[in-house]
Amino acid sequence: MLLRSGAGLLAALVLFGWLNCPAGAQHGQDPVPSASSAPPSGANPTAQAVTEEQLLQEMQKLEGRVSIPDYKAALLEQPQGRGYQFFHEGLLPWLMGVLIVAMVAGLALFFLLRGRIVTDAPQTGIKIRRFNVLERATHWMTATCFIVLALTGLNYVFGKRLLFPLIGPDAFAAFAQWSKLAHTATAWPFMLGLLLMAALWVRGNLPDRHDWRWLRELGGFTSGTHPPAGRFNAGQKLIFWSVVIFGLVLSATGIIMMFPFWTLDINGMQLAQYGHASAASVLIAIIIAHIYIGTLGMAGAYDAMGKGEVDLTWAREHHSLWAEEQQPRVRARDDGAGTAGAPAE
Amino acid sequence: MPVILASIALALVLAVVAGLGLHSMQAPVYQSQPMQSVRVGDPGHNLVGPNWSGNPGRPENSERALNATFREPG
Repeated sequence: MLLRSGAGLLAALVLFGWLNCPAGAQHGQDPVPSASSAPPSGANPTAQAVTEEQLLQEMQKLEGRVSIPDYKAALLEQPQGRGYQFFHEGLLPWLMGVLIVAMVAGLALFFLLRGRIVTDAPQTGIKIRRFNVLERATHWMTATCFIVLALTGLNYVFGKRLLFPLIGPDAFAAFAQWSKLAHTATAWPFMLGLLLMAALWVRGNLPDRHDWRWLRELGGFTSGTHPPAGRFNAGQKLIFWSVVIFGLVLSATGIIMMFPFWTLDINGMQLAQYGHASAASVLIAIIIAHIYIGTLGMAGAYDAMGKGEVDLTWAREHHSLWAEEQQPRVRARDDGAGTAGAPAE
Repeated sequence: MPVILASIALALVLAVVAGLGLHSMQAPVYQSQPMQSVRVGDPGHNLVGPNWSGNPGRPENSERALNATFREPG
């Protein structure tokens, strides 16, 4: 009896152990994964599944459904977005970087070759009013805004690449947010200054018959003489019209982006960004040249906009036609019959 | 130099005025696009509350609810 009971107990233990083998394998001894990542069947189950790229090419738009009222958010991807991404993350940094670096390098080379441009004749000490207070205030207000706009605008493109690694995420986030606010705020006095400058100086910047000679001789760089010029020479006229045209492009596209989707859809917003960034790249490079020639590049140029007056010698050499126009006023002032504050035009 | 400084000051004043004007035209997204569903972007007013306690009220309420939920028995 005891023997029969023991045999039965042994059989029960063996059966229990046999039944629990799979459970033991699951809990404590997971099978070692195969060295190959290929599925055991040898087929990739998702090989025939449609890809994101195929969907985009076939449907031209990948759209979903959203519960928020802004239904534009349902558009996930479209080919124009790929182009915009290529421009914003690939082409634009190179375009802007090359333009700026090339301009700085070119100016440095020019300075090494030509040096600072000074007048050939000695200074007379006779001053001629070149810009009145309104003109200078307009220039400096616009210049202040442009510098803020350029630096904060460059942060949009180069901040995450250059500044972020230096100052870290928290400081960069705060700086970027304040930069955005400064960019949209200073845009308005910039646009006001742009319109004022255009109104004040458009007459003196209309093309005339002397411009071609000035351009042909590169302002006297190739001929060694000073080509005749009126109040503004051809180089200054190019700067003026560049500022006006690119400034208007920047203003129009900037307003479009400042009030997103008021007038244009996402494609229009991207086109506005194309125009804004491209115009900014060119104008920043041009203004760097303008700053160079107005400070380091030419002696006496800063006085024109800083103090509003230039020496008669400077006027005769760089703006001979304008200096001739001013001669009666200079003589009248010397005779004591006129005022020292005679307007330039 | 006085003209330059005055121009910089004028640019600053105009920029501040423009910035305030732009700011007054903006509205938070929950005001500009109100809807019936729950937003989870604002942890103070969403479904679970700032402490993930299920109480979307003020933080101290959420803390109280959290303590009540996980109070030690006895």
